[in-house]
Amino acid sequence: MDPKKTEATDEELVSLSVEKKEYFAILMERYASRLFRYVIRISGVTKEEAEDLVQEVFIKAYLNLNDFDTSLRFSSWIYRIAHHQTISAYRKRQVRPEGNRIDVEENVLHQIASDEDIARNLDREIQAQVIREAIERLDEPTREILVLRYFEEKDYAEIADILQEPAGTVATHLYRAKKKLRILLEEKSKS
Amino acid sequence: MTTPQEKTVSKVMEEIEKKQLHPIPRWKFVLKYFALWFLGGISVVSGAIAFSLTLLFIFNDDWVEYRLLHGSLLNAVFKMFPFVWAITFILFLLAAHFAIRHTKNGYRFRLWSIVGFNVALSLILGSVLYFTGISHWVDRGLGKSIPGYFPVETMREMMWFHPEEGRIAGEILEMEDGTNSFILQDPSGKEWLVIESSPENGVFPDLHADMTVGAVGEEISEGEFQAQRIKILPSPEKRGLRDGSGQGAGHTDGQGRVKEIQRGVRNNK
Repeated sequence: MDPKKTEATDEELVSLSVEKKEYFAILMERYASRLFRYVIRISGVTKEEAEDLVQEVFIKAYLNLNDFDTSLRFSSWIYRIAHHQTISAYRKRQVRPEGNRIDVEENVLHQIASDEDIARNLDREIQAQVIREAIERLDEPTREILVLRYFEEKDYAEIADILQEPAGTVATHLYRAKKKLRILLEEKSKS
Repeated sequence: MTTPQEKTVSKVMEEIEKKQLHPIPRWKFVLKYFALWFLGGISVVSGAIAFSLTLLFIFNDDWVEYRLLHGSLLNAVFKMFPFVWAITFILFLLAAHFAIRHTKNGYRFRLWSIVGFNVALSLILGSVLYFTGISHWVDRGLGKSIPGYFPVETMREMMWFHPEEGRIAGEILEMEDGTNSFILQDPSGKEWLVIESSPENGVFPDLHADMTVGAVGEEISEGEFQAQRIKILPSPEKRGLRDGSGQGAGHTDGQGRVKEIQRGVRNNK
């Protein structure tokens, strides 16, 4: 493999992967960890189940390389496959959440806290715990949209491409998700 | 020591190798999206045809007459509104929505914008089909090819041809000037002496031989009908219902047409 190809963009690697599967390995290396975390965050499956799911995502992506829409970012496309695969597995296998799946990192904390007055007023450590618990109590679609926005740091257009919804609908869902989170954070802060 | 990330990559590569997996050829996706757009297009066109037939039935049935004959507008709407075509129109709209939503970029549009666009397109196309007469042609074609389907003209005659309920229809064979009666031949070929009961009240239109009319009144004796109201109906020849012998188009004899009409009435009930 040409080492220079590892500097190629995701989209270039997709074209190369169709001809030579070794290039697909580079794409997988770029996304394996991110998808692994994403799958756990939105579904709460065990690490083993998440690994299996990510493998299925890559196999599906490989088979559908020729269906990749060049008007999209590769990251949106692979996240979309991961979203469908996880939701489908979640429904088929009735996988159960493990808990503690939301790893609240500093930047995420900052993002949410800057949006939510309630969270901003709390102590940092308590903030992390409160936000984690509140997010875990949310229903699956609400949690996923928050995960995509704050944890995966996707913009509205990318979220729309991943969830295959109009951008306006994403904005509405995100607004409602934040509202739900705010209510939960208020409850938490009172208790 | 391998990281979980490296483990995943090597497992996937192994599986690709072991199962000899290859990306699905591009032409299969091209075909899939072509099929979806085709389904969407066909659905819009079919929806437009259904809408044009809805218009045809709405604008060509005798709503006012039916209301007068049956008393209630609600009853008239229930009996005469082309529910089948209206429902077919909605089903095709849903099919078009499904198809467009599953194309590559279909998800970018809101539900109301796809439905609104489909409705607008179907309404425009449907109106064009109606005003160019294509919906009449389709209606008649369906009447000839689908057993039990009654074109709008047949429905109109079905409504009028109920001697037992005080309604007859047919062609005026003879009419003498200065009289208040005429000879009418119904679709079965039977001749009726129609006497206008009160022509002086001005409700009767100007009549002459060869006109097709519907009469409301009562059968006073065998072959005699006293009419309280008379309505001029579009000529069957103009509507293409009959051939030169005065028989129904697509039917072997007048009696067969009457039977069909009567059967239709029974089915309607």
